[in-house]
Amino acid sequence: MTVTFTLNGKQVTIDTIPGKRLADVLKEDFALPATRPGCYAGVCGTCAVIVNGELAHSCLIPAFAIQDAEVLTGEGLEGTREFDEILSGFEHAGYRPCANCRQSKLLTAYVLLTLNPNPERANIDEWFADQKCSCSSLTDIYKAIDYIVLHRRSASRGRK
Amino acid sequence: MAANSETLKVFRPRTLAELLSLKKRRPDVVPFAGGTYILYGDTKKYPDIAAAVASMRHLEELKRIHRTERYIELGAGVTLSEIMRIGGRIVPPALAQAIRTIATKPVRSLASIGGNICVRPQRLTLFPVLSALEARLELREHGGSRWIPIARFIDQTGDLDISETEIVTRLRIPLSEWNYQCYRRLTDGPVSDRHSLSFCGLANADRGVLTDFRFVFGSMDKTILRNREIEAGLVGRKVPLLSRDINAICASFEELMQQFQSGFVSPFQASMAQKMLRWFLSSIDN
Amino acid sequence: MDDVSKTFIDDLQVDGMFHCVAIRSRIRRGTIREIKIPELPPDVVLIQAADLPGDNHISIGGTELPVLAETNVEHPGQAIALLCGEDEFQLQRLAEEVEIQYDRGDPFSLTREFKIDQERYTRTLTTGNVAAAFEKAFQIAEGEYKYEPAGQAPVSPAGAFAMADSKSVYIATPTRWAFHVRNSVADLLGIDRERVVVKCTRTSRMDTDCLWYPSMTAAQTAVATAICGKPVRMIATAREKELLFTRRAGCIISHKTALNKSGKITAMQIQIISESGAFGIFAAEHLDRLCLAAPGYYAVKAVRIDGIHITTSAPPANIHDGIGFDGGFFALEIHASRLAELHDEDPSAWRLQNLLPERNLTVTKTRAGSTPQRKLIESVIDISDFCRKYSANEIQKKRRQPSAPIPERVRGIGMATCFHGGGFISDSKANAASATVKLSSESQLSILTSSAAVPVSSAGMYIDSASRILSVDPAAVQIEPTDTSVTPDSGPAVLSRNVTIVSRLIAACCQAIQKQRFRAPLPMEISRNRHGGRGRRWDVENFKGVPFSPLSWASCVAEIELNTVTYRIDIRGLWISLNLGSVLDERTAAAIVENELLDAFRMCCGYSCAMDPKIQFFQKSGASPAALSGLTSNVFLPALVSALSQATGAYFDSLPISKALFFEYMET
Repeated sequence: MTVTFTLNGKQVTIDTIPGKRLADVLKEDFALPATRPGCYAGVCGTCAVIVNGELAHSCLIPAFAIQDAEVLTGEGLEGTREFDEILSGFEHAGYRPCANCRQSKLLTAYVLLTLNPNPERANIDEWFADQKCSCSSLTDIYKAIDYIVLHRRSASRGRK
Repeated sequence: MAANSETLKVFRPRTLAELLSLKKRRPDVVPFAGGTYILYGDTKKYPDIAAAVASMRHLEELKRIHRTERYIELGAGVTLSEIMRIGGRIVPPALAQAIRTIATKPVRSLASIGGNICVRPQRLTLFPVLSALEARLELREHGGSRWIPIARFIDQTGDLDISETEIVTRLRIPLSEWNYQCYRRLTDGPVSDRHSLSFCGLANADRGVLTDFRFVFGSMDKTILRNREIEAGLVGRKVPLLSRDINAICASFEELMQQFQSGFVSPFQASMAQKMLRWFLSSIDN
Repeated sequence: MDDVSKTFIDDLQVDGMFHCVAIRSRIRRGTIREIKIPELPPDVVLIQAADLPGDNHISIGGTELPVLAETNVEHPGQAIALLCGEDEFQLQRLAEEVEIQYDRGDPFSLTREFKIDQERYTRTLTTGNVAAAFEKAFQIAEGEYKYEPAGQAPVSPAGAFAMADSKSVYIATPTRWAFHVRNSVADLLGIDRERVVVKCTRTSRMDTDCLWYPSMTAAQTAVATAICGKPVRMIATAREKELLFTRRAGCIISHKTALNKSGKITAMQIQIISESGAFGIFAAEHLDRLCLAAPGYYAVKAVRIDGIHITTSAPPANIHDGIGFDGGFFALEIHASRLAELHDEDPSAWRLQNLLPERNLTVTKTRAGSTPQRKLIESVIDISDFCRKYSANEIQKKRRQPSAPIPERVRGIGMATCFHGGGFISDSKANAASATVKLSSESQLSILTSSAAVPVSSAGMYIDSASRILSVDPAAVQIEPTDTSVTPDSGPAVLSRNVTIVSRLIAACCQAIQKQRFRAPLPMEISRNRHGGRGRRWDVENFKGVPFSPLSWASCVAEIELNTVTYRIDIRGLWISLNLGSVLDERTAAAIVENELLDAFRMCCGYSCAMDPKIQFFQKSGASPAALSGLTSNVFLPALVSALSQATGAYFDSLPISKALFFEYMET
């Protein structure tokens, strides 16, 4: 079936199996390797993308359900100021998620900080604790988020 | 079955009227909002979904949230994340507690409240809470609609009492003030299993007297357990409740459980249910 | 085949490639009576056991695993046939239509009542006069402990890709044991090993990757390539990963301990039944490590250990860091806490009293040297205030009336101590390793090791070490991708061999270069080898000597609060002291410890719990780094379970701990 949706800011149309998972659509039909299907069960979190502004497991979304949706992947956010701040924050805090879950961790941080520019530990736990790929510890994540928050605060003062 | 991913027939009704008309013509079409129950845990690369689905993502009529002083009304397509975003002062705390126990944030951003209560093989997390809150559901089909209390949404065998051509469109949750609200889920992980048990307790007390009391249990099969006689037996008692009152209630409850035990709960769940009830009763005004 | 080290296996595609899907057993044990295959399209190829060119097996740890089941099925998920074709979706559908009829057999389980057919390996150790010691005992305490840990399905993709030309067979796969993949493929195809080239693809966490699976899938895809005449790729499905990767070896350990009036152990009688699934891979390694851990480092003059390894009708277990020591210390340390309680003594004091003094003989009949164990125990009980909290909880527990309802929340505190070692002890050849370091004329350093597909921590360790020794910028140090035609055989990246063996070889290469670099011309290439065998230090036949050098040590205190209504455990405090010899990067080591704590808790209880562990590293300057991976989990779990036992007054003695187990232990 034909599905039309917005992918990383551009409208796209594909002809695909209706029940094919969005995670596989992104990887196989659009050659976007950053989205990593893992468990195919909505548990591990490595396939996270942003759909209509919300963080979602792309393995739980069949192709037919993304008609007219707005989908953002890590590739689509690259180069934006917010995303670069997050990348830089991760790097400065020495937080290096593995290649498999890197995108999902970046996107999770992106959505968390968009909704809550100054999250507390409990908020960070809520967003990150269920991600099964524990290549880096929560301490690293706290440090990274703290760094990004501080950086944004001083940058916004600078801009004012 | 694997052929479903490829041969799956997808309908995309643009309005509720179109959806209802479709359901009348094709009662076999499965309404698909978040689809998380269908896909969560299905680890096949090409999942089994159904022969035909109606994608409900574009039906704004099912996503409306409406609030009055007496109730909050949620469209069946409102996601669990959206409910949490409404805020703690409006969403009953027991409901918010229950939603927080469901899977993870990204799953809750897809899962709908209608989907959670309309799963046929099981009664999921929100059913006991909505039962305790005495929510009402609107069921609509082409040419008609009805509002029913959620307690009547399941029949004596625990199956959903909804015809093939009907869908749940709205939920109305009374915004009563409860001094004590509690939801607890007993499970070994984020996904319920056969030992899972959930409990919702609500109580009001005024000047040291219990004025209203409700409790509901749900296990992972189809049965929701609530007994108004036991509830009524407590109203008017002084709080904090005396040990003998608590023991009496628990004894009545144990008799009730024994009637259900073989079909409803295992000895483990029965014991846990007792403990939860006892704990809640002890915590009122204490 | 180009460099694939930066590519995940499921991203690897070539034109004309076939996909391969395995048809797998759905029963635990039995024989195949009939296989009904649906009508296959002309471009789909079916491969069964009879089609294999060579012997239908690969060999792992001395055990043969069939590549495709011919008649006997030994575990669920065992591959019976392969379907190859262009359309992966079509293959999946066809695989689901295949009907297999079985004659089911009684499945084998981990139980005391095992059958003679299940026996694979035994080990018996005796020292001193156990019978006499039990006769004179003041107190005898018994306990049985069952350890059946759940593993964690890896999130990174798994599978293999194979292609061939007239000269060679090329395999790409994420593997911790590239040369084993090479040898397995070559032996199955009946060709020279040098004709098989294995390259490692990208992976994330190595410890959840299965050691034996890449060799199996590589063998299967290599056969498929040979038969179909096309490149073939096979990717593990999520279900296959869950079924085949997550298994960890389990055990049942019975302790019978004799104590004298002062509470000191005078004798131990230990029975061990261990399993690692069907076929019993690494039976000797698992059981021998259990035997080492079973008496721990306590002073016992008379010990008898009877161990037997059996097969079960479960997928072959992955070999994880900490294997054997996990079950052994789980049983021992919970038992030790119980012994202390029976003697009405603080568990920390009891342990300190019973530690093996220097110069005494260990169970492997060597002289115990000075160990950091005492210091670690003292440090962790000091920072956690263990003694005061333990007493307070005991008093609370004793004050509870038997008839009164148990409070909504109860607290407990528990401790454990253990040691750890890297490398194989049962198969000395598996400890052979080689590494090469090259220094170019432009002062670019290249490290060549087949343990190159490693997590960031190991790669960072190699680079740090090399850059320090040779005073080069870390940015100028490169780890070459694993390619069996180029990189030397460093053995399997498991059991902390990267830290205890490979890193030392790399350091030795760098030191040799340092000595010569200003005298000899560049470029320079130095290799160092470690031959298998632990020399005169470890006699595996007689179980004598020093099995590991160096050892790593840990002590842990866990304080918990249990909600007796929901049976949910919350960690109130967690303190862990470790001695790893030397620690190159404390931050990375702390992250490893933290992750292991989270994983271990989840494995034990089935849900996550927030924790803020206080981690202390004790180091000795100039010491060699010792094994870390697996150590934290092994010391944390018995501490947690001991805390739970104190909190509830019920003796928890098995893993995992489900809510149903609480009910069984506390209410029935």
